[in-house]
Amino acid sequence: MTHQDHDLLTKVGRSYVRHQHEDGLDELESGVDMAVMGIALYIMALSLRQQIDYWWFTVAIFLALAISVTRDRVKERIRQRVTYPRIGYASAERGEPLSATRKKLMWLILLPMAAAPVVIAVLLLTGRMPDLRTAAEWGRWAPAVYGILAGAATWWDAERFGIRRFRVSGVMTGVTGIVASLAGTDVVSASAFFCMGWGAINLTTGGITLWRFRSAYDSGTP
Amino acid sequence: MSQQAPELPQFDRLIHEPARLMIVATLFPVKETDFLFLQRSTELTKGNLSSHLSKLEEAGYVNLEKTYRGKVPLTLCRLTAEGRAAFRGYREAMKQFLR
Repeated sequence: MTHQDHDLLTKVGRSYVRHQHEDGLDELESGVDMAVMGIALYIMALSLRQQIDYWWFTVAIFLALAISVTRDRVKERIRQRVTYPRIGYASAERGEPLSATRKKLMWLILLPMAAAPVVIAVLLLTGRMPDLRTAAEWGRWAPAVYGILAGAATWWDAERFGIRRFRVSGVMTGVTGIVASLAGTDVVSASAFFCMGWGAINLTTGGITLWRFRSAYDSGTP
Repeated sequence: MSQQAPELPQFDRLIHEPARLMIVATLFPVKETDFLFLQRSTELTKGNLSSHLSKLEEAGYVNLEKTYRGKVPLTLCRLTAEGRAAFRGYREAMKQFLR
Protein backbone atom coordinates (compact mmCIF):
# COMPACT_ATOMS: atom_id res chain seq x y z
CA MET A 1 0.00 0.00 0.00
CA THR A 2 1.31 3.46 -0.85
CA HIS A 3 1.84 6.30 1.60
CA GLN A 4 -0.99 8.22 -0.06
CA ASP A 5 -3.43 5.32 0.29
CA HIS A 6 -2.23 4.47 3.75
CA ASP A 7 -2.66 8.05 4.96
CA LEU A 8 -6.17 8.28 3.51
CA LEU A 9 -7.31 4.93 4.88
CA THR A 10 -5.67 5.57 8.24
CA LYS A 11 -7.30 8.98 8.49
CA VAL A 12 -10.70 7.62 7.53
CA GLY A 13 -10.38 4.60 9.84
CA ARG A 14 -9.36 6.79 12.77
CA SER A 15 -12.22 9.19 12.14
CA TYR A 16 -14.58 6.22 12.48
CA VAL A 17 -13.03 5.18 15.81
CA ARG A 18 -13.19 8.79 17.05
CA HIS A 19 -16.84 8.86 16.00
CA GLN A 20 -17.49 5.72 18.07
CA HIS A 21 -15.98 7.38 21.16
CA GLU A 22 -17.41 10.85 20.65
CA ASP A 23 -20.44 10.34 22.92
CA GLY A 24 -18.62 8.59 25.81
CA LEU A 25 -21.18 5.75 25.89
CA ASP A 26 -18.57 3.02 25.36
CA GLU A 27 -16.71 4.27 28.44
CA LEU A 28 -19.93 4.40 30.45
CA GLU A 29 -20.67 0.82 29.38
CA SER A 30 -17.25 -0.50 30.41
CA GLY A 31 -17.47 1.63 33.59
CA VAL A 32 -20.70 -0.12 34.59
CA ASP A 33 -19.16 -3.53 33.76
CA MET A 34 -16.05 -2.89 35.84
CA ALA A 35 -17.95 -1.35 38.76
CA VAL A 36 -20.33 -4.33 38.94
CA MET A 37 -17.41 -6.75 38.69
CA GLY A 38 -15.64 -4.81 41.46
CA ILE A 39 -18.72 -4.97 43.70
CA ALA A 40 -19.06 -8.73 43.04
CA LEU A 41 -15.40 -9.24 43.95
CA TYR A 42 -15.74 -7.11 47.09
CA ILE A 43 -18.77 -9.15 48.19
CA MET A 44 -16.71 -12.26 47.54
CA ALA A 45 -13.83 -10.88 49.63
CA LEU A 46 -16.24 -10.18 52.51
CA SER A 47 -17.84 -13.62 52.26
CA LEU A 48 -14.42 -15.28 52.23
CA ARG A 49 -13.73 -13.51 55.52
CA GLN A 50 -17.20 -14.67 56.64
CA GLN A 51 -18.32 -11.09 57.24
CA ILE A 52 -21.44 -11.56 55.08
CA ASP A 53 -23.45 -14.54 53.82
CA TYR A 54 -22.10 -16.26 50.70
CA TRP A 55 -25.38 -15.99 48.76
CA TRP A 56 -24.78 -12.24 48.33
CA PHE A 57 -22.06 -13.20 45.88
CA THR A 58 -24.60 -15.20 43.85
CA VAL A 59 -26.89 -12.14 43.81
CA ALA A 60 -24.00 -10.00 42.50
CA ILE A 61 -23.22 -12.53 39.76
CA PHE A 62 -26.90 -12.57 38.66
CA LEU A 63 -26.89 -8.76 38.66
CA ALA A 64 -23.75 -8.74 36.49
CA LEU A 65 -25.35 -11.24 34.09
CA ALA A 66 -28.58 -9.21 33.89
CA ILE A 67 -26.59 -6.06 33.09
CA SER A 68 -24.49 -7.84 30.45
CA VAL A 69 -27.67 -9.10 28.74
CA THR A 70 -29.44 -5.72 28.64
CA ARG A 71 -26.59 -3.20 28.29
CA ASP A 72 -26.23 -3.39 24.48
CA ARG A 73 -29.93 -2.69 23.97
CA VAL A 74 -29.86 0.21 26.42
CA LYS A 75 -26.75 1.69 24.78
CA GLU A 76 -28.28 1.36 21.31
CA ARG A 77 -31.48 3.09 22.47
CA ILE A 78 -29.50 5.99 23.94
CA ARG A 79 -27.45 6.22 20.75
CA GLN A 80 -30.63 6.34 18.65
CA ARG A 81 -31.98 9.22 20.76
CA VAL A 82 -28.78 11.15 21.49
CA THR A 83 -25.89 10.23 19.19
CA TYR A 84 -27.19 9.40 15.72
CA PRO A 85 -29.36 12.53 15.28
CA ARG A 86 -26.31 14.67 16.17
CA ILE A 87 -23.31 13.07 14.45
CA GLY A 88 -24.77 10.31 12.32
CA TYR A 89 -24.68 6.54 12.38
CA ALA A 90 -21.96 4.12 11.34
CA SER A 91 -21.85 0.41 11.95
CA ALA A 92 -18.58 -1.53 12.08
CA GLU A 93 -17.81 -4.14 9.47
CA ARG A 94 -17.66 -7.67 10.90
CA GLY A 95 -14.09 -8.71 11.61
CA GLU A 96 -12.99 -5.14 11.13
CA PRO A 97 -9.18 -5.07 11.30
CA LEU A 98 -9.03 -1.66 12.99
CA SER A 99 -9.98 -2.83 16.46
CA ALA A 100 -8.72 -6.43 16.30
CA THR A 101 -5.54 -5.72 18.28
CA ARG A 102 -7.44 -3.73 20.86
CA LYS A 103 -10.02 -6.48 21.31
CA LYS A 104 -7.30 -9.11 21.75
CA LEU A 105 -5.60 -6.96 24.37
CA MET A 106 -8.88 -6.42 26.21
CA TRP A 107 -9.58 -10.17 26.23
CA LEU A 108 -6.05 -10.79 27.49
CA ILE A 109 -6.71 -8.45 30.40
CA LEU A 110 -10.36 -9.20 31.16
CA LEU A 111 -10.50 -12.97 30.69
CA PRO A 112 -8.24 -13.92 33.65
CA MET A 113 -10.04 -11.31 35.78
CA ALA A 114 -13.44 -12.77 34.89
CA ALA A 115 -12.24 -16.35 35.32
CA ALA A 116 -10.56 -15.82 38.71
CA PRO A 117 -13.75 -15.54 40.83
CA VAL A 118 -15.33 -18.52 39.04
CA VAL A 119 -12.24 -20.68 39.65
CA ILE A 120 -12.10 -19.62 43.32
CA ALA A 121 -15.85 -20.25 43.75
CA VAL A 122 -15.52 -23.75 42.24
CA LEU A 123 -12.54 -24.50 44.50
CA LEU A 124 -14.47 -23.30 47.53
CA LEU A 125 -17.64 -25.21 46.67
CA THR A 126 -15.77 -28.45 45.97
CA GLY A 127 -13.68 -28.05 49.11
CA ARG A 128 -10.43 -28.16 47.15
CA MET A 129 -9.23 -24.70 48.11
CA PRO A 130 -5.48 -25.09 48.69
CA ASP A 131 -3.47 -22.98 51.08
CA LEU A 132 -3.00 -19.96 48.92
CA ARG A 133 -1.44 -17.62 51.43
CA THR A 134 1.84 -17.32 49.54
CA ALA A 135 0.11 -17.17 46.15
CA ALA A 136 -2.35 -14.59 47.48
CA GLU A 137 0.54 -12.45 48.66
CA TRP A 138 1.88 -12.36 45.11
CA GLY A 139 -1.59 -12.23 43.57
CA ARG A 140 -2.18 -8.99 45.42
CA TRP A 141 0.08 -7.35 42.82
CA ALA A 142 -1.99 -8.57 39.86
CA PRO A 143 -4.11 -5.37 39.78
CA ALA A 144 -0.92 -3.29 39.53
CA VAL A 145 0.19 -5.33 36.50
CA TYR A 146 -3.30 -5.17 34.92
CA GLY A 147 -3.57 -1.47 35.68
CA ILE A 148 -0.24 -0.63 34.07
CA LEU A 149 -1.01 -2.80 31.00
CA ALA A 150 -4.53 -1.42 30.58
CA GLY A 151 -3.29 2.12 31.19
CA ALA A 152 -0.57 1.71 28.56
CA ALA A 153 -3.14 0.34 26.06
CA THR A 154 -5.44 3.29 26.75
CA TRP A 155 -2.57 5.76 26.29
CA TRP A 156 -1.67 4.01 23.02
CA ASP A 157 -5.25 4.47 21.82
CA ALA A 158 -5.05 8.15 22.80
CA GLU A 159 -2.01 8.59 20.56
CA ARG A 160 -3.34 6.51 17.66
CA PHE A 161 -6.81 8.01 17.47
CA GLY A 162 -6.14 11.48 18.84
CA ILE A 163 -8.55 11.07 21.77
CA ARG A 164 -6.79 13.20 24.39
CA ARG A 165 -8.94 12.23 27.38
CA PHE A 166 -7.63 8.65 27.05
CA ARG A 167 -4.22 9.91 28.19
CA VAL A 168 -5.75 11.01 31.50
CA SER A 169 -7.76 7.81 31.95
CA GLY A 170 -4.68 5.74 30.97
CA VAL A 171 -2.54 7.33 33.67
CA MET A 172 -5.35 7.10 36.22
CA THR A 173 -5.91 3.40 35.40
CA GLY A 174 -2.23 2.63 36.00
CA VAL A 175 -2.22 4.59 39.28
CA THR A 176 -5.47 2.88 40.38
CA GLY A 177 -3.92 -0.54 39.80
CA ILE A 178 -0.90 0.29 41.96
CA VAL A 179 -3.04 1.88 44.72
CA ALA A 180 -5.44 -1.11 44.69
CA SER A 181 -2.51 -3.52 45.10
CA LEU A 182 -1.18 -1.51 48.02
CA ALA A 183 -4.62 -1.14 49.65
CA GLY A 184 -5.82 -4.74 49.18
CA THR A 185 -4.93 -7.36 51.76
CA ASP A 186 -5.36 -10.25 49.30
CA VAL A 187 -5.85 -10.87 45.56
CA VAL A 188 -9.66 -10.74 45.74
CA SER A 189 -9.93 -7.47 47.68
CA ALA A 190 -7.11 -5.84 45.65
CA SER A 191 -8.89 -6.85 42.40
CA ALA A 192 -12.17 -5.54 43.80
CA PHE A 193 -10.64 -2.13 44.58
CA PHE A 194 -9.03 -2.02 41.14
CA CYS A 195 -12.24 -2.92 39.28
CA MET A 196 -14.26 -0.38 41.26
CA GLY A 197 -11.60 2.29 40.69
CA TRP A 198 -11.31 1.52 36.98
CA GLY A 199 -15.09 1.54 36.70
CA ALA A 200 -15.26 4.89 38.48
CA ILE A 201 -12.67 6.37 36.07
CA ASN A 202 -14.63 5.19 33.03
CA LEU A 203 -17.96 6.32 34.47
CA THR A 204 -16.50 9.76 35.19
CA THR A 205 -14.80 10.30 31.81
CA GLY A 206 -17.76 8.77 29.96
CA GLY A 207 -20.27 10.87 31.91
CA ILE A 208 -18.36 14.12 31.32
CA THR A 209 -17.93 13.27 27.63
CA LEU A 210 -21.64 12.52 27.21
CA TRP A 211 -22.59 15.74 28.99
CA ARG A 212 -20.20 17.79 26.84
CA PHE A 213 -21.35 15.96 23.70
CA ARG A 214 -24.99 16.87 24.39
CA SER A 215 -24.02 20.50 25.00
CA ALA A 216 -21.78 20.74 21.94
CA TYR A 217 -24.27 19.49 19.35
CA ASP A 218 -27.68 20.79 18.55
CA SER A 219 -30.23 18.01 19.05
CA GLY A 220 -32.20 19.36 16.10
CA THR A 221 -29.44 18.45 13.65
CA PRO A 222 -31.08 16.37 10.89
CA MET B 1 16.16 7.81 -30.95
CA SER B 2 12.76 6.93 -29.67
CA GLN B 3 11.96 6.71 -25.97
CA GLN B 4 8.97 4.59 -25.06
CA ALA B 5 6.61 6.21 -22.54
CA PRO B 6 6.00 4.17 -19.39
CA GLU B 7 2.73 2.29 -19.43
CA LEU B 8 0.21 3.82 -17.04
CA PRO B 9 -2.07 1.52 -15.06
CA GLN B 10 -5.79 1.64 -15.71
CA PHE B 11 -7.37 3.66 -12.93
CA ASP B 12 -11.08 3.37 -12.22
CA ARG B 13 -12.02 6.95 -13.10
CA LEU B 14 -15.21 6.81 -11.09
CA ILE B 15 -13.24 6.25 -7.88
CA HIS B 16 -10.26 8.37 -8.93
CA GLU B 17 -12.29 11.58 -8.48
CA PRO B 18 -11.24 12.95 -5.00
CA ALA B 19 -14.72 13.38 -3.51
CA ARG B 20 -15.86 9.93 -4.60
CA LEU B 21 -12.55 8.42 -3.44
CA MET B 22 -13.20 9.93 0.00
CA ILE B 23 -16.76 8.53 0.04
CA VAL B 24 -15.62 5.02 -0.96
CA ALA B 25 -12.69 5.12 1.51
CA THR B 26 -15.09 6.18 4.27
CA LEU B 27 -17.50 3.35 3.47
CA PHE B 28 -14.76 0.73 3.07
CA PRO B 29 -13.98 0.01 6.77
CA VAL B 30 -17.62 0.12 7.90
CA LYS B 31 -20.69 -2.04 7.32
CA GLU B 32 -23.10 0.85 6.75
CA THR B 33 -23.48 4.54 7.56
CA ASP B 34 -26.18 7.15 7.33
CA PHE B 35 -26.02 10.30 5.20
CA LEU B 36 -25.08 12.54 8.15
CA PHE B 37 -22.01 10.47 9.07
CA LEU B 38 -20.82 10.52 5.46
CA GLN B 39 -21.39 14.26 5.23
CA ARG B 40 -19.36 14.91 8.40
CA SER B 41 -16.55 12.54 7.38
CA THR B 42 -16.15 13.79 3.83
CA GLU B 43 -16.95 17.46 4.58
CA LEU B 44 -19.00 17.65 1.36
CA THR B 45 -22.18 19.67 1.03
CA LYS B 46 -25.50 17.81 0.97
CA GLY B 47 -25.99 18.41 -2.74
CA ASN B 48 -22.47 17.40 -3.65
CA LEU B 49 -22.58 14.25 -1.56
CA SER B 50 -25.98 13.32 -2.93
CA SER B 51 -24.79 13.77 -6.50
CA HIS B 52 -21.64 11.68 -6.00
CA LEU B 53 -23.58 8.96 -4.20
CA SER B 54 -26.02 8.76 -7.10
CA LYS B 55 -23.14 8.24 -9.53
CA LEU B 56 -21.66 5.54 -7.34
CA GLU B 57 -25.07 3.90 -7.01
CA GLU B 58 -25.58 3.94 -10.79
CA ALA B 59 -22.23 2.18 -11.18
CA GLY B 60 -23.34 -0.44 -8.65
CA TYR B 61 -20.60 0.48 -6.17
CA VAL B 62 -22.92 1.77 -3.47
CA ASN B 63 -26.25 0.58 -2.18
CA LEU B 64 -28.59 3.30 -0.86
CA GLU B 65 -31.53 2.34 1.30
CA LYS B 66 -34.22 4.89 2.12
CA THR B 67 -35.82 4.09 5.45
CA TYR B 68 -37.04 5.70 8.67
CA ARG B 69 -35.67 5.96 12.20
CA GLY B 70 -38.87 6.48 14.11
CA LYS B 71 -40.54 9.22 12.07
CA VAL B 72 -37.30 10.70 10.73
CA PRO B 73 -36.26 9.78 7.15
CA LEU B 74 -32.95 7.97 7.00
CA THR B 75 -30.64 7.12 4.11
CA LEU B 76 -28.36 4.15 4.76
CA CYS B 77 -25.27 3.83 2.56
CA ARG B 78 -23.31 0.61 2.01
CA LEU B 79 -20.47 -0.34 -0.25
CA THR B 80 -21.48 -3.29 -2.47
CA ALA B 81 -19.19 -6.27 -3.12
CA GLU B 82 -18.49 -4.70 -6.52
CA GLY B 83 -17.61 -1.39 -4.86
CA ARG B 84 -15.25 -3.09 -2.43
CA ALA B 85 -13.55 -4.96 -5.27
CA ALA B 86 -13.24 -1.71 -7.24
CA PHE B 87 -11.63 0.09 -4.30
CA ARG B 88 -9.19 -2.78 -3.75
CA GLY B 89 -8.37 -2.71 -7.47
CA TYR B 90 -7.85 1.05 -7.34
CA ARG B 91 -5.45 0.70 -4.42
CA GLU B 92 -3.51 -1.99 -6.28
CA ALA B 93 -3.32 0.16 -9.43
CA MET B 94 -2.08 3.13 -7.40
CA LYS B 95 0.48 0.91 -5.70
CA GLN B 96 1.78 -0.28 -9.10
CA PHE B 97 1.90 3.26 -10.43
CA LEU B 98 3.91 4.70 -7.54
CA ARG B 99 6.26 1.74 -7.21
